[in-house]
Amino acid sequence: MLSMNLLHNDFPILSRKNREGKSLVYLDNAATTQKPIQVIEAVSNFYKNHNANIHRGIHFLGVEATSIYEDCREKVRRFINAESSDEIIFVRGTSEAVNLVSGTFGEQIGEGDEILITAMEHHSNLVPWQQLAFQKKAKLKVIPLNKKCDLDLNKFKKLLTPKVKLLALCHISNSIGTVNPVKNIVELAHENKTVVLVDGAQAMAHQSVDVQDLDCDFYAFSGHKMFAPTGIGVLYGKRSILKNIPPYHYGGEMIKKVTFNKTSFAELPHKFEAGTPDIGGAVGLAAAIDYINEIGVDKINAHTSELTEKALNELSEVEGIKVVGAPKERAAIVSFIVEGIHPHDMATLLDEDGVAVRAGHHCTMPLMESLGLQGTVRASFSIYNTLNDVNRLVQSVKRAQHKLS
Amino acid sequence: MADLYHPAILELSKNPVGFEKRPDAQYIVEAYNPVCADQFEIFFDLKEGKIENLTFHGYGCALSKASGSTAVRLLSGLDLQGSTKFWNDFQSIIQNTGKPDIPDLEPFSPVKDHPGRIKCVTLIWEEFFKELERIK
Repeated sequence: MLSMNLLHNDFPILSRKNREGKSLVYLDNAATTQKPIQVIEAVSNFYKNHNANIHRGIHFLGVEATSIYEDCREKVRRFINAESSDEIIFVRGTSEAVNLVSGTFGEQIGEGDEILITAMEHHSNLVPWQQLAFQKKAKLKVIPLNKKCDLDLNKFKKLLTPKVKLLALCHISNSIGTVNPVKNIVELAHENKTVVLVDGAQAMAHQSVDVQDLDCDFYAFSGHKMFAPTGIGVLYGKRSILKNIPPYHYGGEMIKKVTFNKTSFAELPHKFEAGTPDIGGAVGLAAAIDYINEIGVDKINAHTSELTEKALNELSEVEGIKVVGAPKERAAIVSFIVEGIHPHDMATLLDEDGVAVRAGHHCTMPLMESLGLQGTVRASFSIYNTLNDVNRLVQSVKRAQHKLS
Repeated sequence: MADLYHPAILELSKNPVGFEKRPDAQYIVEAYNPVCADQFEIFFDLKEGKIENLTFHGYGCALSKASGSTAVRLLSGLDLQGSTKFWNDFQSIIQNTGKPDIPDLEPFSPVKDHPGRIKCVTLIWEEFFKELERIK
């Protein structure tokens, strides 16, 4: 276990109490993580001491801000081991990253082509492809899950026909916690000349991600699920692909030369960053990366795995509770249903005890439908959670059962 | 803080009133909450301007089922004017803008302290009255 006293001190919000005066047990980390003081102060320091617009200012602040912003990009590159910082595009978050790819690379999809996704995708990695398929008269195909909520790899291989131009899948399921064997899947897809986009939103705070080792063509993630502020995220794309696809948004910062008749666009990565970006957000993301590196991803993973294991074991022993899925590898997410109790009623009663969880369909309505569920209660863990937090969760679930039974 | 799960609400959620499908109803309305995917159908007839045979059916939380049951209890047999008065009273209780003395609605008053659950209790009522307005 990580040293909890030190970690708790890093997250001021964890000292909050709920309306009933109960201390906070924050188990909604798959929705967004809390922010350590190091990140909050880094953003604050940027605005206090370095704020200016980037890439245009001649004055010293403009030069400083530009240098800070580009250093953040380099920090992201190192964190995911991209080959070049040109392959790191700052966006608002995973949703925008996926939309960027569907709106640009998607132009290469034509009538009769196929797009492959999985049954466990968040709406953000489903709706853009579904809409693209409608527009292009392409076909959207879905890799099903087996009973344990792992991807059915045999069916995947059958679905991977020569017509599949793009495969979009999550690294980790936000609803179940399933960790997908992305490297193997990418290898198979590439043998089929299929481009692969990985939604890494749930992975970044829990696993080392090496995009060159995974060999994926695109990797998308949000800062706010890895201790950074909301509003900043990253699209990694292989240079060879990014340089051949059109810009996503048009405007300032992304141009080389503009006349009334035509425009030539900036080089990578600026071609994809129209307008003034979220510079403070990038600073926060870089500070979050420093924070994760300081603790060590492996230690974080070991810590949250222990919590997840305890939650799985203890919840499974409670009568009337069914944990959803039993994947081969599970990240720090436990989704469960409670017999006779609606997830939102359960979440409200847990909230009364100070235990913050997510309830509902988790933006994966088709997955819920395929599992025959309307929704689940989801507890998701992070570095600042403790074994006692799991105890509080289990006790509170039992209290709610008693109250609503 | 007042208990959101008043015994009357728990009772109505476990044994909802008028919880049945009526595919031959004169009007069938869908009530869907995209936040939680709760989904009901509301069934009713209108005879000489009065609401008759009001029922509902579907999937939802304790609050939404209790609220649907209360709609069945209070609105059956009323005309538009009479039913709208209850809807206005219900909203004033939930929004804490008034305190009408209606025992059937009073158990829902703690919802005012739970903004995330307001839609749960208004879902069926809202869609029902939208349909009444459309018919009018």
